[in-house]
Amino acid sequence: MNIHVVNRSLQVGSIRILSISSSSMLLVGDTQSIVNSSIFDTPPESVIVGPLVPIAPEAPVGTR
Amino acid sequence: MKNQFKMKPRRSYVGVVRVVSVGLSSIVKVGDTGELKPSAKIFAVQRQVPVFQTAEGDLSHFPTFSREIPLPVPNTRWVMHTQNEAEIEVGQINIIGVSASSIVHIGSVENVKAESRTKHIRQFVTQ
Repeated sequence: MNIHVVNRSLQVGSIRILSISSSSMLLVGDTQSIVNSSIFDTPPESVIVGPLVPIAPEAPVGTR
Repeated sequence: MKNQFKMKPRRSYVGVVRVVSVGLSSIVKVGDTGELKPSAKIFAVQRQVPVFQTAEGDLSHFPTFSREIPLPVPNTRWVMHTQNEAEIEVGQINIIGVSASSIVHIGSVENVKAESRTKHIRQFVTQ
């Protein structure tokens, strides 16, 4: 497949952004390739009801 | 790495850039770049009681942060020819927050591979 792009005038007056977060990007320029991947993991078992226990406790120093 | 741009990228002209806060491994860059690989691993715990222990949140417990993310493979061969007849012009950029490995980039970049992994847990505490 052949794609022919002719870029003529590209002028933007103003860009107003509240926040850019978690490896997002504002790019003012050209690029060859962009690959974005994202995982958001909040399964049912991510609701924990019970006594206060530390979550994903780190191994005590020196035991790893 | 050889310059991969098939054709010369355009220049970007920006009048004003205002950014209030740049945090948590974020970048504001003016200029050209070869490759950007921003990555954010976020472990968010909403806990019913304000109790914080330091030895928590070892991400190796969760496959979320280690498993490989499958990337789409383009199934058609393609060739792109670009003809630039003007540069890129932006008057003003106003941003309040840039956070968690994010990037504001004025100028061209050849390749970007951005990754964000978030695990969210809600913890209700019963006696």
